[in-house]
Amino acid sequence: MSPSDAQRRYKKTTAMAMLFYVIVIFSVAFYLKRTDDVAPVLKYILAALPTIFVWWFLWGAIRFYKETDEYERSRLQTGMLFGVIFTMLLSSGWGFMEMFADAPQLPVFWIFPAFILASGVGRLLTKTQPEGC
Amino acid sequence: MDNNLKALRAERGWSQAALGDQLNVSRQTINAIETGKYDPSLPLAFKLARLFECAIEEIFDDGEKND
Repeated sequence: MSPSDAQRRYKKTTAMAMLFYVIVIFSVAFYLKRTDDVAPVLKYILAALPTIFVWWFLWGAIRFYKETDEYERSRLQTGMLFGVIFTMLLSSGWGFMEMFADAPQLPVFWIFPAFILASGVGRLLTKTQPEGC
Repeated sequence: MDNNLKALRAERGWSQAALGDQLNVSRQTINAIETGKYDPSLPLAFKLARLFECAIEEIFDDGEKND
């Protein structure tokens, strides 16, 4: 597979994963709000459903890492590193503010979107501009 | 690292995408090498040297002078 084909597949996979992630989150929230007497086990299962699409997204990134060329791989690494550093700083910093400064408690599911956002910014920082022939 | 990849490519009339296709890398990779934003791995440097039928040192210059 050529690097450009790998990139196309990566973009398609991650876009689909994010779309289904959002759809499932809203569907589960809608269902649980409208339905009484849901068994606790079922609640746990429904609540965990969006993580399937988190895995789908990350699997797409792993596959792209294996299929693309060395430069795109290094950009992905830089982006992921940027994402990890950002989310670690944000989550630990906010956690301390919750403990010591009564900051409002944030749901931990925000860690994944924050990581994805920061990873994207990290990749953009290493993007090169096309030149003419 | 400095390189004269752009000049070598221009001599042959290849676009970045065409060179990338021959090396099985993306156009962005060629662009990043040409603009000095990315130093290729040794295997890719060898591929480039073979394709342009010259030594790696004729394409890349690390700024160190040989004795």
